Amino acid sequence: MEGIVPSFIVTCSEDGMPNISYISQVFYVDDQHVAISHQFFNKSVKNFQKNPQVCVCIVNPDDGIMWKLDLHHSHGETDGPLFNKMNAQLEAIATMTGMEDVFKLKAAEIFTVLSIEQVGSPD
Amino acid sequence: MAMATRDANLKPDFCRVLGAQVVDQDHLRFFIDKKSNPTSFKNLQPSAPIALTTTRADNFESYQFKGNFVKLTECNEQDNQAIQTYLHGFNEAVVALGLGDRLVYNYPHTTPYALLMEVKEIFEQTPKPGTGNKL
Repeated sequence: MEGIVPSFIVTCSEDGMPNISYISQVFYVDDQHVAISHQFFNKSVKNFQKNPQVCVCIVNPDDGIMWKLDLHHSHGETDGPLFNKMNAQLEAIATMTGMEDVFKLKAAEIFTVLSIEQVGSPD
Repeated sequence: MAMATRDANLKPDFCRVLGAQVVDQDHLRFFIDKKSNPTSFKNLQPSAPIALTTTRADNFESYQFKGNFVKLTECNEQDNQAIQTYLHGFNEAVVALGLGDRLVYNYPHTTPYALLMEVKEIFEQTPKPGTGNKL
């Protein structure tokens, strides 16, 4: 979740076309919520604002195990403590990956976590 | 690389992709694991809309392909070799970035199928201001 291995966000438009995008971080908010940093995924945002059903895949950087999160979009935040924390973490990720001039946080998008499942098991 | 599908209620699903091949100007063929992706496989109805994203690990150059599912076939020996070649290259790329050796081999890949996709649109997805343009 901390951005060592990029995660994925999958959304679907109102007319049924899926969309998939890499995301820098999935931020733990509390036991029922995560937040995703909105930097470039404009199409994803348009999709989940109309169809709040979202699927996110995160990868454990220690063992490569993938986890799928079934999410429901709640709202976005453009300031406040959560936004500031995510911004600081994003700056760290940007520095680590050489993307300091590129990764800028537009909003923290908050999602309710409906379910989490491991994707298969290592072969 | 990864694929997006959705069900009849527009609920989206994620599926890791294990390598891809260009068939012709309008078609891609790529590999997905069946056992670890039951929902994605269920979503692959005739002509189902799907999306594929791919990125280079070293510089984040990325593209998204959108189109329709055409067909699935069980992988043959040549396909299995292509998957191993992909995982080998992917492993080298991520090890160079500081991740653990053989980590990507933990992506499930023992029940692989080859998916044929008809590509309708291609979008730039490299992370930068203004990304998302159709090519």
